[in-house]
Amino acid sequence: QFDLTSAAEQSVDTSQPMLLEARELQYDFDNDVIIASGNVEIYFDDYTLRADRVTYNRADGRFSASGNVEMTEPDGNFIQADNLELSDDFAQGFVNALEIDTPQFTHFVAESAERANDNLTIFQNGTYSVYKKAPKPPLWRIKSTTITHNQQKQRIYFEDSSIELFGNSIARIPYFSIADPTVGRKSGFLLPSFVTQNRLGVGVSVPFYWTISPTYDLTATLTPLTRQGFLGQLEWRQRFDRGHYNVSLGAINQADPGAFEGSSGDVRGRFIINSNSNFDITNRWRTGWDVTYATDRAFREDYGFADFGSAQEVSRLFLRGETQRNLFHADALAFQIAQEDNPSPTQPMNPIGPFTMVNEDLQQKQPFVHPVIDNSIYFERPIFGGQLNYDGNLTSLTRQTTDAFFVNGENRFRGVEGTFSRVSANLTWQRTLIDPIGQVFTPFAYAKTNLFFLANADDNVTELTDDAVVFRGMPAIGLEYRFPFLSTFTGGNQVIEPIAQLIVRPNEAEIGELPNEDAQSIVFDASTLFDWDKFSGFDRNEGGVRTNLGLQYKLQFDKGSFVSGLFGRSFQLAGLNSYAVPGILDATGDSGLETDGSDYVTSLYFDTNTGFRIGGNARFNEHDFGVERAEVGASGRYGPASTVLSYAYLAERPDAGIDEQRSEFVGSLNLNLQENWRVFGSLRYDMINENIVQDTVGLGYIDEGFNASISYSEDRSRNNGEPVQRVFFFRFGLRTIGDTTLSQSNSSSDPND
Amino acid sequence: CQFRPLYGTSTTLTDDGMERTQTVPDQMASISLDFPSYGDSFAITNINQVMRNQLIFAFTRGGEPLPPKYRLEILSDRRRAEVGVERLADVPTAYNITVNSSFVLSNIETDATLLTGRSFASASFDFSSQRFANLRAERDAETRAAKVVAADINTRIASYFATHPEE
Amino acid sequence: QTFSDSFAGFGSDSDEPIEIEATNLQVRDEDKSAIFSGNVVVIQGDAKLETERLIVFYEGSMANGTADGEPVQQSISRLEAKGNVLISSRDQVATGDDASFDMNEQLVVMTGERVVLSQGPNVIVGNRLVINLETGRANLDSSAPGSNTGRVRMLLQPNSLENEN
Repeated sequence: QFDLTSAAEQSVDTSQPMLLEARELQYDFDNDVIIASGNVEIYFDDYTLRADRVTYNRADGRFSASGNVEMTEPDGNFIQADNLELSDDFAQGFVNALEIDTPQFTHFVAESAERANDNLTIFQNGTYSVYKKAPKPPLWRIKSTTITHNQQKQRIYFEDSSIELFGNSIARIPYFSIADPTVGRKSGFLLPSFVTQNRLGVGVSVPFYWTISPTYDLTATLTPLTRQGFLGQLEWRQRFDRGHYNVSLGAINQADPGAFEGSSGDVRGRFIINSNSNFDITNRWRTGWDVTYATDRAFREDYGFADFGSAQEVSRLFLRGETQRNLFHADALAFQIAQEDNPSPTQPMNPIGPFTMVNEDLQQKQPFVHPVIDNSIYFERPIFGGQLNYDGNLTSLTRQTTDAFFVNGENRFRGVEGTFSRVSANLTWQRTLIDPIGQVFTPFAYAKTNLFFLANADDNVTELTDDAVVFRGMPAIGLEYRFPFLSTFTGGNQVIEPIAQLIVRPNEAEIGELPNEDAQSIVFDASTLFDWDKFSGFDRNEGGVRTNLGLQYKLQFDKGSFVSGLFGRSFQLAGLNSYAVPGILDATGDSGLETDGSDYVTSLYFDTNTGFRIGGNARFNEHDFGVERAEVGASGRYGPASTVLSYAYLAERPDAGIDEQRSEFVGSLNLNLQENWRVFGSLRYDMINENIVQDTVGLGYIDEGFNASISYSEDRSRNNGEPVQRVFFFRFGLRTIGDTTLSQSNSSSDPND
Repeated sequence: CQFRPLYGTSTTLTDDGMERTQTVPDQMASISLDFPSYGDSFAITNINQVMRNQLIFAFTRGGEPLPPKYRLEILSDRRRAEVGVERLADVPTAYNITVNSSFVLSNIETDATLLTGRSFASASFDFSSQRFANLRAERDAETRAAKVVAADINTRIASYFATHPEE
Repeated sequence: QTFSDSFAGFGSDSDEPIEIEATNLQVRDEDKSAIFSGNVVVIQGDAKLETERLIVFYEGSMANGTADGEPVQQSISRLEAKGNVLISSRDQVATGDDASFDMNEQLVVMTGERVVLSQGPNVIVGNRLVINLETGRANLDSSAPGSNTGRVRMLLQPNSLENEN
């Protein structure tokens, strides 16, 4: 509230005592007048009043304060005035030459103000601005002859007012009203934003926010676009005490579908619906969904400037249970991809035989996962002095079309038509012993058990085993040895730590005869060097006798900066090297682990703790030490500039179907110019083909009461018949007047966020 | 600068001449863990749980924890970046997951802050046309990055205790 | 009956008898003063003054006026109370270190480290209290010599807001 009496409904609690402090106090007994002077301070209920002089006539109950009067009201309004007259319950009052600052940092200046019957406050010749007494004239303010604040209706009415920008009037408006800024959820139009996109034309999206009840509200947005017509959006949000759900719709009847010629957007009617929710069953169990359906796969990207809730490729129903150490996650998943089909008969990797080509029917090749369940339990009590933990997984999915490609003279399958299920249960035991001289021994053992249920519906895929049920186990015992050395110097210390692991296991059985749904990615780097099983999923189990050797170095300074590095290599000592034998997918052919002596891997992380930081992983070829893969990221803040740079080099991986190397530089910069302005930009540069893939440049302004941003971006990575997608976007916000910033937080992990 | 084993037992003479072997592992086993959470996303909840379990094993070495004397608070954030996006490729070649954490080690009794620091690690996974495989690979990459950060924090706390023996 | 009326009680125009008790009295006619000492209590009507030492200055001579027990105050010009002075009348009480009543000026001045004036539940604290019996105005400030830049503090109880006058 900003008016004089704070919430008028509960007027001052006159049963409270009043404390008055002053340098001098005159108490006129006969006519009961108290005159206090000398920086008088009065504390009454939650009010404080300061003034040079206060006369309190107890007979007629009038307060009059004069001389730089300052009054703070219970809800935080801070009123400054030359003189002030108040009834002794502060309900009526007349102030002149006053300024009011409210907790919402809105600022009223008026020649005089009158409060009548507890509810109305009328300002004469007042100005309303959201800037505290800024030295220069505030960017914008509203001057009007009378401003009336109606307490009950929670609205502010401006009569005969002029909107001033930089101190000069740009618009005269006879009469308008806004919501009282203290009211968070108030229905009304939000400020528009502007967009220009080459295939959509120029558009203005005008949102209307409607609070139907304290627990549910609606945002309807209409965006007329010069080339494609009207895009309509509706977002419904409902909240319960145990959770919430949202529904977002987007629809357009495209006037010029031809603009999207060559992509799935070349249709007249396009529509998208997304709903997400989160409900707490107990304080440990939660359930909910995040589902999206669009009439065509390109809708979300083509109309990217609009926000359709948490629309994304993955749709999921989830049940999650967690304690501090254990978890049970169950997800049912479906996918609607945005990638356009792009088959070409001349593609060398097209599979031999009756299979769809590469990049054809991409949508049908995606599985329905019904469900995937992860369950992990750490046993509290030590067993044989060590820690035992169980982690299990159930994955069951169905796919309509086989996802095949041809490489090295063989057909490989990223996914096979049919229904495939697997139940896995792993038990791991480990214990660490430290001997007197500081050597660290960690004996461990684990047993992985997998039961596959295969219903291969594509009899052209003969590589898969014909058995309907297959069991595969992988027991292992091993030892990890570390011997860290410490050396201290003034201001910090360094640690050098040799690490060695030996893992003894039987060979992995039936490689290539079982589907591989969740272990398709194999990136051998410093983070996988000391994993006992370097596969990324349950569908593959590393086998044979393997040793991992590494040297770790850490240098840390007391004031917080640190350097930490690791260098190592892995050796297959005996048995079958699971990474050498091509599985049904053969993604491990170029992983660096396929030779008995693996490639070298290294990582380096350096943080100056003063705003600069660099970190990266790299893998070097075991023979010629050539770089096989390198990913380096750096971020820095220096004065007004803050920048994030990253470089990546990936050598070609023919076995995985990547036939040429990739090398890329991505940079983004944010430069704060003087005071409120900032310039920002980002760039993604493909170094192999020497072209810019994506770039953005923008200008932003923000101060206490106004924010605006203009951005222009180009995206050439999309394969939808449009070489470059150009988007120009402008939005602005006047604080407390139709703020467009509706923060939308959804907690589901979003793979494409 | 001479090197000595990080976990070597350093015998110190207490003032009354008693020999007191006070090893770093005992200190480590009396650390209690706290992961303040602010409406975290599923990914952050998983990362916190991986770090917690890794550090509990690193501190207690599989045995019983000692009565807590220290508190270690860790706050983490996760970034995901597309890697190797080419023109007309429509999809990236890989994704890179970076986990950034800041940690504070404090003495429970005196509530004094002993050590603060930041740690970060990244792990990447290759893009597959099978979106389900990407989901699982992303979860594995998050776990790997979290394990590297946990191991880094563990070593740095061990070196703190080795260089600041309890009075 | 406000605060000021009660103080008038000590004024020269009231006809109520004044009783003064003290452990001992020393009359010094030459400078026309009488010194009461030892928890002096002065009572007149419903007004009461307590102090450790009270010096009464009077005109005319004490000697000729006391023969027939004529009331002494007729010729009092000034009272000086020294040492934790308390003045009270019905619901009003003022306490301080010392106080002086100037009958001709109709002024009561009370000073002290903590001069406390309370009327029913209302309490005012300051260093110097000046009550003008004529105008009925009490003036409390903190500018007494020697005191730091203290503040006058007043606690007004709500029910006293609607009192009778």
